[in-house]
Amino acid sequence: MIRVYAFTVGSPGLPQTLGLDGADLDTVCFEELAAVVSRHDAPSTTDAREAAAVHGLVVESLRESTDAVLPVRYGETFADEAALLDALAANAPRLRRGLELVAGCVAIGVRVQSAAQPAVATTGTEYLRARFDEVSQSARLAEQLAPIVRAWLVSPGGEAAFLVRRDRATSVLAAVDAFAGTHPDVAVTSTGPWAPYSFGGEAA
Amino acid sequence: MSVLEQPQRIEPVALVELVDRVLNKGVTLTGDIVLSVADVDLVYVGLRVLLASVATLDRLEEDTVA
Repeated sequence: MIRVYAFTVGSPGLPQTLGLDGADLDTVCFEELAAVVSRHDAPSTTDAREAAAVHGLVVESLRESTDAVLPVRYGETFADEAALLDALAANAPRLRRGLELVAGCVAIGVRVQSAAQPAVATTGTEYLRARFDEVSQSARLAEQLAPIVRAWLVSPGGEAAFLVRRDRATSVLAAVDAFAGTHPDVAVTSTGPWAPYSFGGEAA
Repeated sequence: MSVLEQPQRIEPVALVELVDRVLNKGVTLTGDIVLSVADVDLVYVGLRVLLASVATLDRLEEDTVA
Protein backbone atom coordinates (compact mmCIF):
# COMPACT_ATOMS: atom_id res chain seq x y z
CA MET A 1 0.00 0.00 0.00
CA ILE A 2 1.18 3.53 -0.78
CA ARG A 3 0.38 6.44 1.53
CA VAL A 4 0.52 9.93 0.02
CA TYR A 5 1.55 13.01 2.05
CA ALA A 6 1.88 15.83 -0.46
CA PHE A 7 2.47 16.83 -4.05
CA THR A 8 5.31 18.93 -5.31
CA VAL A 9 7.20 19.49 -8.55
CA GLY A 10 10.50 18.30 -9.94
CA SER A 11 12.84 16.26 -7.76
CA PRO A 12 12.30 17.55 -4.24
CA GLY A 13 14.94 17.03 -1.60
CA LEU A 14 13.14 14.80 0.88
CA PRO A 15 13.35 15.78 4.55
CA GLN A 16 14.93 13.46 7.12
CA THR A 17 11.49 13.00 8.68
CA LEU A 18 10.13 9.46 8.58
CA GLY A 19 6.65 8.58 7.40
CA LEU A 20 3.97 6.64 9.22
CA ASP A 21 5.25 3.59 11.14
CA GLY A 22 8.83 4.77 10.56
CA ALA A 23 8.67 4.15 6.81
CA ASP A 24 11.12 6.00 4.55
CA LEU A 25 9.78 8.75 2.34
CA ASP A 26 9.97 8.35 -1.42
CA THR A 27 8.55 10.01 -4.52
CA VAL A 28 6.32 8.73 -7.32
CA CYS A 29 6.54 10.99 -10.36
CA PHE A 30 4.15 11.70 -13.22
CA GLU A 31 5.73 14.09 -15.72
CA GLU A 32 6.90 17.05 -13.58
CA LEU A 33 4.54 16.22 -10.69
CA ALA A 34 5.97 14.37 -7.69
CA ALA A 35 3.92 12.64 -5.00
CA VAL A 36 5.73 12.28 -1.67
CA VAL A 37 4.83 8.83 -0.36
CA SER A 38 5.73 6.00 1.96
CA ARG A 39 5.26 2.31 1.18
CA HIS A 40 3.67 -0.17 3.59
CA ASP A 41 3.23 -3.94 3.55
CA ALA A 42 0.46 -3.97 6.16
CA PRO A 43 -2.23 -1.65 7.54
CA SER A 44 -0.93 0.73 10.19
CA THR A 45 -1.54 -0.07 13.83
CA THR A 46 -0.60 3.43 14.96
CA ASP A 47 -3.22 5.40 16.90
CA ALA A 48 -5.22 7.54 14.43
CA ARG A 49 -4.42 10.85 16.15
CA GLU A 50 -0.73 10.09 16.27
CA ALA A 51 -0.76 8.89 12.65
CA ALA A 52 -2.40 12.19 11.62
CA ALA A 53 0.30 14.08 13.53
CA VAL A 54 3.04 12.13 11.70
CA HIS A 55 1.36 12.97 8.38
CA GLY A 56 1.27 16.64 9.33
CA LEU A 57 4.91 16.71 10.45
CA VAL A 58 6.00 15.24 7.11
CA VAL A 59 4.03 17.93 5.27
CA GLU A 60 5.43 20.73 7.44
CA SER A 61 8.98 19.41 6.91
CA LEU A 62 8.35 19.56 3.16
CA ARG A 63 7.08 23.12 3.52
CA GLU A 64 10.41 24.08 5.05
CA SER A 65 12.50 22.37 2.38
CA THR A 66 10.46 22.81 -0.80
CA ASP A 67 9.13 25.89 -2.60
CA ALA A 68 5.76 24.51 -3.72
CA VAL A 69 3.93 21.94 -1.57
CA LEU A 70 0.33 20.86 -1.94
CA PRO A 71 -0.65 18.91 1.21
CA VAL A 72 -2.74 15.77 0.84
CA ARG A 73 -5.48 15.06 3.34
CA TYR A 74 -4.66 12.32 5.84
CA GLY A 75 -5.93 8.91 4.78
CA GLU A 76 -5.19 9.05 1.05
CA THR A 77 -3.81 5.63 0.15
CA PHE A 78 -3.42 3.57 -3.02
CA ALA A 79 -3.08 -0.15 -3.51
CA ASP A 80 0.06 0.20 -5.62
CA GLU A 81 2.11 2.59 -7.73
CA ALA A 82 0.04 1.95 -10.85
CA ALA A 83 -3.14 3.08 -9.07
CA LEU A 84 -1.42 6.22 -7.82
CA LEU A 85 -0.08 7.01 -11.30
CA ASP A 86 -3.59 6.64 -12.74
CA ALA A 87 -4.92 9.10 -10.17
CA LEU A 88 -2.04 11.49 -10.84
CA ALA A 89 -2.72 11.42 -14.57
CA ALA A 90 -6.45 12.02 -14.05
CA ASN A 91 -5.85 14.95 -11.67
CA ALA A 92 -2.72 16.45 -13.25
CA PRO A 93 -4.31 19.73 -14.49
CA ARG A 94 -5.86 20.42 -11.08
CA LEU A 95 -2.60 19.63 -9.26
CA ARG A 96 -0.58 21.83 -11.61
CA ARG A 97 -2.96 24.75 -10.99
CA GLY A 98 -2.73 24.22 -7.25
CA LEU A 99 1.07 23.98 -7.22
CA GLU A 100 1.37 27.09 -9.35
CA LEU A 101 -0.89 28.97 -6.95
CA VAL A 102 1.00 27.95 -3.79
CA ALA A 103 4.56 28.27 -5.15
CA GLY A 104 6.67 30.34 -2.78
CA CYS A 105 3.80 30.69 -0.33
CA VAL A 106 2.73 29.57 3.12
CA ALA A 107 -0.68 29.74 4.78
CA ILE A 108 -1.73 31.79 7.78
CA GLY A 109 -4.84 30.66 9.66
CA VAL A 110 -7.07 33.18 11.40
CA ARG A 111 -10.03 32.31 13.60
CA VAL A 112 -12.53 35.05 14.37
CA GLN A 113 -15.03 34.51 17.17
CA SER A 114 -17.70 36.90 18.29
CA ALA A 115 -16.93 38.01 21.85
CA ALA A 116 -20.59 38.83 22.47
CA GLN A 117 -22.21 35.62 21.25
CA PRO A 118 -24.03 33.49 23.81
CA ALA A 119 -22.09 30.54 25.16
CA VAL A 120 -24.76 28.16 23.90
CA ALA A 121 -27.08 28.90 21.00
CA THR A 122 -30.64 27.98 21.93
CA THR A 123 -31.98 27.86 18.38
CA GLY A 124 -30.61 26.99 14.97
CA THR A 125 -31.22 30.56 13.80
CA GLU A 126 -29.24 31.95 16.73
CA TYR A 127 -26.40 29.57 15.95
CA LEU A 128 -26.36 30.53 12.26
CA ARG A 129 -26.53 34.22 13.13
CA ALA A 130 -23.44 33.90 15.33
CA ARG A 131 -21.62 32.02 12.54
CA PHE A 132 -22.69 34.71 10.07
CA ASP A 133 -21.27 37.47 12.29
CA GLU A 134 -17.95 35.64 12.47
CA VAL A 135 -17.83 35.05 8.73
CA SER A 136 -18.63 38.73 8.14
CA GLN A 137 -15.77 39.85 10.38
CA SER A 138 -13.41 37.38 8.68
CA ALA A 139 -14.46 38.77 5.31
CA ARG A 140 -13.69 42.31 6.52
CA LEU A 141 -10.25 41.17 7.65
CA ALA A 142 -9.71 39.49 4.28
CA GLU A 143 -10.62 42.71 2.47
CA GLN A 144 -8.00 44.57 4.48
CA LEU A 145 -5.34 41.96 3.81
CA ALA A 146 -6.18 41.51 0.13
CA PRO A 147 -3.35 43.76 -1.12
CA ILE A 148 -0.67 41.69 0.62
CA VAL A 149 -1.99 38.11 0.20
CA ARG A 150 -2.16 35.93 -2.90
CA ALA A 151 -5.45 34.24 -2.04
CA TRP A 152 -7.80 33.72 0.87
CA LEU A 153 -10.75 31.59 1.93
CA VAL A 154 -13.30 32.04 4.70
CA SER A 155 -15.00 28.92 6.00
CA PRO A 156 -18.61 28.88 7.28
CA GLY A 157 -17.19 28.67 10.79
CA GLY A 158 -15.51 32.05 10.43
CA GLU A 159 -11.99 30.66 10.11
CA ALA A 160 -9.98 32.32 7.37
CA ALA A 161 -6.95 30.96 5.56
CA PHE A 162 -4.58 33.36 3.82
CA LEU A 163 -2.06 32.30 1.21
CA VAL A 164 0.93 34.60 1.54
CA ARG A 165 4.42 34.83 0.12
CA ARG A 166 6.93 33.39 2.55
CA ASP A 167 8.67 36.73 3.03
CA ARG A 168 5.36 38.42 3.83
CA ALA A 169 4.15 36.03 6.54
CA THR A 170 5.41 38.26 9.36
CA SER A 171 3.73 41.33 7.82
CA VAL A 172 0.43 39.48 7.50
CA LEU A 173 0.56 38.28 11.11
CA ALA A 174 1.25 41.87 12.21
CA ALA A 175 -1.72 43.10 10.14
CA VAL A 176 -3.96 40.49 11.79
CA ASP A 177 -2.80 41.71 15.21
CA ALA A 178 -3.59 45.28 14.17
CA PHE A 179 -7.10 44.20 13.06
CA ALA A 180 -7.63 42.52 16.42
CA GLY A 181 -6.59 45.70 18.19
CA THR A 182 -9.22 47.75 16.38
CA HIS A 183 -12.03 45.17 16.70
CA PRO A 184 -12.57 44.49 20.42
CA ASP A 185 -15.97 42.94 19.66
CA VAL A 186 -14.30 39.81 18.28
CA ALA A 187 -11.58 37.47 19.50
CA VAL A 188 -8.98 36.99 16.77
CA THR A 189 -6.48 34.12 16.86
CA SER A 190 -3.82 33.61 14.21
CA THR A 191 -1.68 30.53 13.59
CA GLY A 192 1.04 29.63 11.15
CA PRO A 193 2.85 29.68 8.93
CA TRP A 194 1.47 26.36 7.70
CA ALA A 195 1.72 24.40 4.51
CA PRO A 196 -1.13 25.60 2.26
CA TYR A 197 -3.74 22.99 3.18
CA SER A 198 -6.72 25.01 1.94
CA PHE A 199 -5.51 26.01 -1.49
CA GLY A 200 -5.40 22.87 -3.57
CA GLY A 201 -8.05 21.24 -5.68
CA GLU A 202 -11.35 23.02 -6.10
CA ALA A 203 -10.22 25.93 -3.96
CA ALA A 204 -7.43 26.74 -6.41
CA MET B 1 8.77 6.28 20.94
CA SER B 2 5.62 8.24 20.28
CA VAL B 3 5.78 11.05 17.75
CA LEU B 4 4.47 13.29 20.49
CA GLU B 5 7.64 12.58 22.53
CA GLN B 6 10.16 13.09 19.76
CA PRO B 7 12.84 15.76 20.15
CA GLN B 8 11.14 17.89 17.47
CA ARG B 9 8.07 18.10 19.71
CA ILE B 10 5.71 20.97 19.09
CA GLU B 11 3.38 22.81 21.40
CA PRO B 12 0.11 20.99 22.22
CA VAL B 13 -2.06 23.76 20.77
CA ALA B 14 -0.07 23.76 17.53
CA LEU B 15 -0.37 19.97 17.43
CA VAL B 16 -4.15 20.18 17.71
CA GLU B 17 -4.20 22.76 14.91
CA LEU B 18 -1.92 20.58 12.79
CA VAL B 19 -4.08 17.46 13.26
CA ASP B 20 -7.21 19.50 12.50
CA ARG B 21 -5.71 20.60 9.19
CA VAL B 22 -4.51 17.14 8.26
CA LEU B 23 -7.94 15.60 8.94
CA ASN B 24 -10.13 18.30 7.40
CA LYS B 25 -8.12 19.95 4.64
CA GLY B 26 -5.75 19.11 1.87
CA VAL B 27 -5.99 17.65 -1.59
CA THR B 28 -7.87 14.42 -2.18
CA LEU B 29 -7.67 12.38 -5.37
CA THR B 30 -10.14 9.65 -4.63
CA GLY B 31 -13.09 11.68 -3.34
CA ASP B 32 -14.47 11.35 0.15
CA ILE B 33 -12.22 9.50 2.54
CA VAL B 34 -13.56 7.27 5.27
CA LEU B 35 -11.57 7.24 8.49
CA SER B 36 -12.44 4.89 11.30
CA VAL B 37 -11.91 6.15 14.82
CA ALA B 38 -12.89 3.89 17.70
CA ASP B 39 -14.86 1.69 15.28
CA VAL B 40 -16.96 4.65 14.12
CA ASP B 41 -16.67 5.51 10.44
CA LEU B 42 -16.23 9.23 9.87
CA VAL B 43 -16.87 10.35 6.31
CA TYR B 44 -15.21 13.54 5.17
CA VAL B 45 -17.63 15.82 3.41
CA GLY B 46 -16.64 18.03 0.55
CA LEU B 47 -17.27 21.45 -0.87
CA ARG B 48 -20.98 20.79 -1.44
CA VAL B 49 -21.69 21.28 2.26
CA LEU B 50 -19.72 24.51 2.37
CA LEU B 51 -21.72 25.88 -0.54
CA ALA B 52 -25.00 24.87 1.06
CA SER B 53 -24.00 26.58 4.28
CA VAL B 54 -23.10 29.83 2.53
CA ALA B 55 -26.46 29.77 0.73
CA THR B 56 -28.19 29.34 4.06
CA LEU B 57 -26.25 32.28 5.50
CA ASP B 58 -27.14 34.40 2.48
CA ARG B 59 -30.83 33.69 3.04
CA LEU B 60 -30.40 34.56 6.71
CA GLU B 61 -28.85 37.90 5.79
CA GLU B 62 -31.72 38.65 3.39
CA ASP B 63 -34.25 37.82 6.10
CA THR B 64 -32.44 40.13 8.51
CA VAL B 65 -32.40 43.03 6.04
CA ALA B 66 -36.07 42.48 5.14
